[in-house]
Amino acid sequence: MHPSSDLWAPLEPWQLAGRTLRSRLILGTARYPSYQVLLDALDAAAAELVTVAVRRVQPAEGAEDLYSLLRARGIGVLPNTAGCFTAKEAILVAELAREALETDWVKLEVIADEETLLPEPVELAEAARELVRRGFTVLPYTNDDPVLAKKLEELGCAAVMPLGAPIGSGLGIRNPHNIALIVARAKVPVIVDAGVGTASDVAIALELGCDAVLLNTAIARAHDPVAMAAAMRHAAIAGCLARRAGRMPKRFWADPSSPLEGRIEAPAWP
Amino acid sequence: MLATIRVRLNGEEREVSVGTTLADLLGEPRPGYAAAVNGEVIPKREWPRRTLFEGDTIEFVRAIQGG
Repeated sequence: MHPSSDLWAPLEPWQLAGRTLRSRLILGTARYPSYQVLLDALDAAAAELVTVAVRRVQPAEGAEDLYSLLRARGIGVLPNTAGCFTAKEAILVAELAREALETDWVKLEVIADEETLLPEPVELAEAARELVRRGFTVLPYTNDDPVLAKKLEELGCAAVMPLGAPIGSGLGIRNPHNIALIVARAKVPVIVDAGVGTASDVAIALELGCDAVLLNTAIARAHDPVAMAAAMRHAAIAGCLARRAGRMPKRFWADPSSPLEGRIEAPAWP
Repeated sequence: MLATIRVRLNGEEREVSVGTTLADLLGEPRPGYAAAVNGEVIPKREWPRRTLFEGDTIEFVRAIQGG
Protein backbone atom coordinates (compact mmCIF):
# COMPACT_ATOMS: atom_id res chain seq x y z
CA MET A 1 0.00 0.00 0.00
CA HIS A 2 1.18 3.49 -0.83
CA PRO A 3 2.44 5.36 2.27
CA SER A 4 0.16 8.34 1.60
CA SER A 5 -2.93 6.14 1.69
CA ASP A 6 -3.87 7.16 5.25
CA LEU A 7 -4.58 10.61 3.83
CA TRP A 8 -7.74 8.89 2.57
CA ALA A 9 -8.46 7.51 6.04
CA PRO A 10 -12.21 8.26 6.37
CA LEU A 11 -12.93 6.32 3.17
CA GLU A 12 -12.91 2.61 2.58
CA PRO A 13 -10.75 1.33 -0.30
CA TRP A 14 -12.34 0.63 -3.66
CA GLN A 15 -11.64 -1.86 -6.44
CA LEU A 16 -10.63 -1.08 -9.98
CA ALA A 17 -10.07 -4.10 -12.24
CA GLY A 18 -9.04 -6.25 -9.28
CA ARG A 19 -6.69 -3.64 -7.87
CA THR A 20 -7.40 -2.14 -4.45
CA LEU A 21 -7.08 1.64 -4.41
CA ARG A 22 -7.46 4.15 -1.59
CA SER A 23 -7.15 7.24 -3.72
CA ARG A 24 -10.31 8.57 -5.36
CA LEU A 25 -8.22 10.75 -7.64
CA ILE A 26 -6.37 9.60 -10.75
CA LEU A 27 -4.11 12.41 -11.87
CA GLY A 28 -2.71 13.45 -15.21
CA THR A 29 0.95 14.43 -15.19
CA ALA A 30 0.97 17.09 -17.95
CA ARG A 31 1.22 20.89 -17.87
CA TYR A 32 3.00 21.20 -14.53
CA PRO A 33 5.56 24.00 -14.22
CA SER A 34 8.25 21.46 -13.19
CA TYR A 35 8.77 17.82 -12.20
CA GLN A 36 9.16 18.94 -8.58
CA VAL A 37 5.75 20.66 -8.53
CA LEU A 38 4.25 17.57 -10.18
CA LEU A 39 5.71 15.25 -7.53
CA ASP A 40 4.66 17.57 -4.68
CA ALA A 41 1.13 17.75 -6.11
CA LEU A 42 0.95 13.94 -6.37
CA ASP A 43 1.93 13.75 -2.70
CA ALA A 44 -0.64 16.39 -1.67
CA ALA A 45 -3.38 14.60 -3.61
CA ALA A 46 -2.20 11.22 -2.25
CA ALA A 47 -2.41 9.84 -5.78
CA GLU A 48 -1.73 6.15 -6.39
CA LEU A 49 -2.33 6.05 -10.14
CA VAL A 50 -1.35 8.64 -12.75
CA THR A 51 -1.69 8.91 -16.50
CA VAL A 52 1.15 9.32 -18.97
CA ALA A 53 1.23 9.77 -22.75
CA VAL A 54 3.33 7.81 -25.25
CA ARG A 55 5.28 9.83 -27.80
CA ARG A 56 8.12 9.46 -30.29
CA VAL A 57 11.65 9.79 -28.95
CA GLN A 58 14.96 10.13 -30.82
CA PRO A 59 17.57 7.42 -30.05
CA ALA A 60 20.16 9.93 -28.81
CA GLU A 61 17.73 11.90 -26.67
CA GLY A 62 18.72 12.31 -23.00
CA ALA A 63 16.71 10.72 -20.26
CA GLU A 64 14.77 12.81 -17.81
CA ASP A 65 12.81 9.68 -17.21
CA LEU A 66 9.27 10.19 -15.93
CA TYR A 67 8.56 6.47 -15.79
CA SER A 68 11.49 5.69 -13.47
CA LEU A 69 10.63 8.70 -11.32
CA LEU A 70 7.05 7.52 -10.79
CA ARG A 71 8.05 3.90 -10.32
CA ALA A 72 10.60 4.84 -7.66
CA ARG A 73 7.75 6.50 -5.72
CA GLY A 74 5.48 3.47 -5.99
CA ILE A 75 2.94 5.34 -8.11
CA GLY A 76 1.07 3.25 -10.69
CA VAL A 77 1.28 4.34 -14.30
CA LEU A 78 -1.75 4.38 -16.59
CA PRO A 79 -0.73 5.04 -20.21
CA ASN A 80 -3.22 6.90 -22.38
CA THR A 81 -3.85 6.85 -26.11
CA ALA A 82 -4.31 10.63 -26.25
CA GLY A 83 -4.14 12.13 -29.72
CA CYS A 84 -5.41 9.01 -31.49
CA PHE A 85 -8.16 9.57 -34.05
CA THR A 86 -8.70 5.95 -35.11
CA ALA A 87 -9.03 2.57 -33.44
CA LYS A 88 -5.97 1.38 -35.37
CA GLU A 89 -3.75 4.16 -33.95
CA ALA A 90 -5.08 3.65 -30.42
CA ILE A 91 -4.43 -0.10 -30.56
CA LEU A 92 -0.80 0.38 -31.66
CA VAL A 93 -0.22 3.01 -28.95
CA ALA A 94 -1.70 0.65 -26.35
CA GLU A 95 0.58 -2.17 -27.54
CA LEU A 96 3.64 0.12 -27.41
CA ALA A 97 2.64 1.28 -23.93
CA ARG A 98 2.24 -2.31 -22.75
CA GLU A 99 5.79 -3.08 -23.88
CA ALA A 100 7.27 0.18 -22.58
CA LEU A 101 5.55 0.38 -19.20
CA GLU A 102 4.91 -3.29 -18.43
CA THR A 103 1.20 -2.79 -17.83
CA ASP A 104 -1.82 -3.99 -19.74
CA TRP A 105 -3.92 -1.16 -18.33
CA VAL A 106 -4.79 1.57 -20.80
CA LYS A 107 -6.77 4.79 -20.66
CA LEU A 108 -8.39 4.45 -24.07
CA GLU A 109 -8.90 7.77 -25.77
CA VAL A 110 -10.05 8.02 -29.39
CA ILE A 111 -11.00 11.56 -30.29
CA ALA A 112 -13.06 12.96 -33.14
CA ASP A 113 -11.31 16.27 -33.79
CA GLU A 114 -8.79 18.67 -32.28
CA GLU A 115 -11.30 21.43 -31.63
CA THR A 116 -13.56 19.57 -29.20
CA LEU A 117 -11.36 16.58 -28.28
CA LEU A 118 -14.65 14.74 -27.84
CA PRO A 119 -14.60 10.93 -28.11
CA GLU A 120 -15.36 9.37 -31.51
CA PRO A 121 -17.88 6.75 -30.36
CA VAL A 122 -17.63 4.27 -33.24
CA GLU A 123 -13.82 4.09 -33.28
CA LEU A 124 -13.80 4.07 -29.47
CA ALA A 125 -16.09 1.02 -29.28
CA GLU A 126 -14.10 -0.77 -31.99
CA ALA A 127 -10.79 -0.12 -30.21
CA ALA A 128 -12.29 -1.20 -26.87
CA ARG A 129 -13.52 -4.49 -28.33
CA GLU A 130 -10.13 -5.31 -29.88
CA LEU A 131 -8.07 -4.29 -26.83
CA VAL A 132 -10.26 -6.39 -24.53
CA ARG A 133 -9.73 -9.31 -26.92
CA ARG A 134 -5.95 -8.76 -26.68
CA GLY A 135 -6.07 -8.95 -22.89
CA PHE A 136 -5.88 -5.26 -21.99
CA THR A 137 -7.61 -3.72 -18.98
CA VAL A 138 -9.48 -1.01 -20.86
CA LEU A 139 -10.53 2.23 -19.17
CA PRO A 140 -12.28 4.25 -21.87
CA TYR A 141 -12.65 8.03 -21.91
CA THR A 142 -16.21 8.37 -23.17
CA ASN A 143 -18.98 10.85 -23.84
CA ASP A 144 -21.44 11.41 -21.00
CA ASP A 145 -23.82 9.17 -22.93
CA PRO A 146 -25.49 6.46 -20.84
CA VAL A 147 -26.06 4.29 -23.92
CA LEU A 148 -22.42 4.36 -25.05
CA ALA A 149 -21.22 3.86 -21.46
CA LYS A 150 -23.35 0.71 -21.15
CA LYS A 151 -22.10 -0.50 -24.53
CA LEU A 152 -18.46 -0.08 -23.44
CA GLU A 153 -19.18 -2.02 -20.26
CA GLU A 154 -20.77 -4.83 -22.29
CA LEU A 155 -17.67 -4.92 -24.50
CA GLY A 156 -15.65 -5.81 -21.40
CA CYS A 157 -14.20 -2.47 -20.29
CA ALA A 158 -13.06 -2.49 -16.66
CA ALA A 159 -14.58 0.95 -15.97
CA VAL A 160 -16.26 3.75 -17.85
CA MET A 161 -14.87 7.28 -17.75
CA PRO A 162 -17.44 9.82 -18.92
CA LEU A 163 -16.38 13.41 -19.43
CA GLY A 164 -17.79 16.17 -17.24
CA ALA A 165 -16.95 18.76 -19.91
CA PRO A 166 -14.39 18.96 -22.76
CA ILE A 167 -10.75 18.16 -21.91
CA GLY A 168 -8.91 21.14 -20.43
CA SER A 169 -12.05 23.33 -20.35
CA GLY A 170 -12.50 23.44 -16.56
CA LEU A 171 -16.26 23.84 -17.11
CA GLY A 172 -17.25 21.31 -14.45
CA ILE A 173 -19.95 18.67 -14.78
CA ARG A 174 -22.26 20.01 -17.48
CA ASN A 175 -24.80 17.20 -17.41
CA PRO A 176 -25.01 15.80 -13.89
CA HIS A 177 -28.16 13.87 -14.75
CA ASN A 178 -26.37 11.90 -17.47
CA ILE A 179 -23.58 11.05 -15.02
CA ALA A 180 -26.23 9.90 -12.51
CA LEU A 181 -27.86 7.73 -15.22
CA ILE A 182 -24.50 6.17 -16.08
CA VAL A 183 -23.83 5.45 -12.39
CA ALA A 184 -27.30 3.98 -11.85
CA ARG A 185 -26.84 1.38 -14.58
CA ALA A 186 -23.11 0.63 -14.41
CA LYS A 187 -21.78 -2.58 -12.90
CA VAL A 188 -18.19 -1.37 -13.36
CA PRO A 189 -16.63 1.67 -11.65
CA VAL A 190 -17.53 5.08 -13.08
CA ILE A 191 -14.77 7.67 -13.18
CA VAL A 192 -15.43 11.24 -14.32
CA ASP A 193 -12.61 12.07 -16.70
CA ALA A 194 -12.10 15.63 -17.98
CA GLY A 195 -13.87 18.90 -17.32
CA VAL A 196 -13.07 19.40 -13.64
CA GLY A 197 -12.19 23.03 -12.92
CA THR A 198 -12.07 23.21 -9.15
CA ALA A 199 -12.63 21.22 -5.97
CA SER A 200 -16.43 21.50 -5.90
CA ASP A 201 -16.59 19.72 -9.29
CA VAL A 202 -14.81 16.71 -7.74
CA ALA A 203 -17.24 16.71 -4.81
CA ILE A 204 -20.22 16.78 -7.20
CA ALA A 205 -18.88 13.84 -9.22
CA LEU A 206 -18.52 11.71 -6.12
CA GLU A 207 -21.88 12.88 -4.69
CA LEU A 208 -23.42 11.64 -7.94
CA GLY A 209 -22.03 8.21 -7.09
CA CYS A 210 -18.90 8.07 -9.21
CA ASP A 211 -16.07 5.99 -7.76
CA ALA A 212 -13.26 8.38 -8.66
CA VAL A 213 -12.28 11.40 -10.72
CA LEU A 214 -9.49 11.70 -13.26
CA LEU A 215 -8.15 15.23 -13.62
CA ASN A 216 -5.07 17.11 -14.71
CA THR A 217 -5.33 20.75 -15.77
CA ALA A 218 -7.40 21.88 -12.78
CA ILE A 219 -4.40 21.11 -10.57
CA ALA A 220 -1.52 21.75 -12.97
CA ARG A 221 -2.82 25.18 -14.04
CA ALA A 222 -4.02 26.32 -10.61
CA HIS A 223 -2.19 29.31 -9.18
CA ASP A 224 -0.79 26.99 -6.51
CA PRO A 225 -0.96 23.42 -7.87
CA VAL A 226 0.14 21.73 -4.64
CA ALA A 227 -2.51 23.54 -2.57
CA MET A 228 -5.15 22.73 -5.20
CA ALA A 229 -4.12 19.06 -5.16
CA ALA A 230 -4.83 18.96 -1.42
CA ALA A 231 -8.16 20.75 -1.99
CA MET A 232 -9.14 18.13 -4.58
CA ARG A 233 -8.39 15.34 -2.11
CA HIS A 234 -10.53 16.95 0.60
CA ALA A 235 -13.33 17.52 -1.92
CA ALA A 236 -13.20 13.86 -2.98
CA ILE A 237 -13.45 12.75 0.64
CA ALA A 238 -16.35 15.14 1.26
CA GLY A 239 -18.16 13.98 -1.88
CA CYS A 240 -17.83 10.29 -0.95
CA LEU A 241 -18.98 10.90 2.62
CA ALA A 242 -21.96 12.98 1.42
CA ARG A 243 -22.95 10.25 -1.05
CA ARG A 244 -22.83 7.69 1.73
CA ALA A 245 -24.77 9.98 4.10
CA GLY A 246 -27.56 10.42 1.55
CA ARG A 247 -28.64 13.92 0.60
CA MET A 248 -32.03 15.45 1.51
CA PRO A 249 -34.74 15.52 -1.13
CA LYS A 250 -34.91 18.68 -3.23
CA ARG A 251 -37.97 20.98 -2.83
CA PHE A 252 -39.33 23.71 -5.04
CA TRP A 253 -40.53 26.03 -2.24
CA ALA A 254 -38.87 27.02 0.99
CA ASP A 255 -39.46 24.95 4.11
CA PRO A 256 -38.76 26.70 7.43
CA SER A 257 -36.27 25.04 9.73
CA SER A 258 -37.70 26.84 12.80
CA PRO A 259 -41.34 25.99 13.55
CA LEU A 260 -43.96 28.61 12.63
CA GLU A 261 -46.06 27.60 15.67
CA GLY A 262 -45.47 29.42 18.96
CA ARG A 263 -44.36 32.70 17.44
CA ILE A 264 -44.89 35.88 19.47
CA GLU A 265 -47.12 38.79 18.44
CA ALA A 266 -45.60 42.26 18.50
CA PRO A 267 -47.86 45.34 19.10
CA ALA A 268 -48.61 47.43 16.00
CA TRP A 269 -45.97 50.03 15.17
CA PRO A 270 -47.03 53.39 16.67
CA MET B 1 31.73 0.42 -49.87
CA LEU B 2 28.96 -0.91 -47.61
CA ALA B 3 25.59 -1.45 -49.19
CA THR B 4 22.82 0.58 -47.54
CA ILE B 5 19.06 0.37 -47.16
CA ARG B 6 16.49 3.06 -46.47
CA VAL B 7 14.17 2.84 -43.45
CA ARG B 8 11.81 5.32 -41.81
CA LEU B 9 12.39 6.12 -38.13
CA ASN B 10 9.59 8.15 -36.49
CA GLY B 11 8.51 9.45 -39.87
CA GLU B 12 11.99 10.42 -41.11
CA GLU B 13 13.97 8.61 -43.75
CA ARG B 14 17.31 7.12 -42.63
CA GLU B 15 20.02 5.34 -44.57
CA VAL B 16 21.60 2.44 -42.67
CA SER B 17 24.03 -0.36 -43.60
CA VAL B 18 22.72 -3.71 -44.68
CA GLY B 19 22.51 -5.96 -41.63
CA THR B 20 21.69 -3.15 -39.17
CA THR B 21 19.54 -4.44 -36.32
CA LEU B 22 16.90 -2.62 -34.31
CA ALA B 23 19.33 -2.52 -31.36
CA ASP B 24 22.01 -0.93 -33.62
CA LEU B 25 19.55 1.77 -34.64
CA LEU B 26 17.90 2.49 -31.28
CA GLY B 27 20.66 1.68 -28.79
CA GLU B 28 20.48 -0.33 -25.59
CA PRO B 29 16.83 -1.08 -24.64
CA ARG B 30 15.81 1.07 -21.67
CA PRO B 31 12.85 0.71 -19.29
CA GLY B 32 9.97 2.94 -20.33
CA TYR B 33 10.78 2.70 -24.05
CA ALA B 34 9.24 0.62 -26.83
CA ALA B 35 9.52 0.16 -30.57
CA ALA B 36 7.34 -1.15 -33.37
CA VAL B 37 8.37 -2.16 -36.87
CA ASN B 38 5.70 -1.96 -39.58
CA GLY B 39 2.98 -1.62 -36.95
CA GLU B 40 4.09 -4.57 -34.82
CA VAL B 41 5.69 -4.13 -31.40
CA ILE B 42 9.11 -5.79 -31.16
CA PRO B 43 9.87 -6.92 -27.58
CA LYS B 44 13.11 -5.39 -26.28
CA ARG B 45 14.89 -8.75 -25.99
CA GLU B 46 14.42 -9.24 -29.73
CA TRP B 47 15.98 -5.92 -30.76
CA PRO B 48 19.49 -7.39 -31.27
CA ARG B 49 18.08 -10.14 -33.50
CA ARG B 50 15.66 -8.00 -35.52
CA THR B 51 17.50 -7.11 -38.72
CA LEU B 52 16.10 -4.15 -40.63
CA PHE B 53 15.07 -4.37 -44.28
CA GLU B 54 14.57 -1.84 -47.04
CA GLY B 55 11.37 0.16 -46.41
CA ASP B 56 10.88 -0.83 -42.76
CA THR B 57 8.90 1.74 -40.80
CA ILE B 58 9.97 2.09 -37.19
CA GLU B 59 8.17 3.85 -34.36
CA PHE B 60 10.28 4.47 -31.25
CA VAL B 61 8.45 5.84 -28.20
CA ARG B 62 8.60 6.47 -24.49
CA ALA B 63 6.31 7.72 -21.72
CA ILE B 64 6.01 11.46 -21.31
CA GLN B 65 3.79 13.71 -19.18
CA GLY B 66 0.17 13.32 -20.24
CA GLY B 67 -3.40 13.62 -19.04
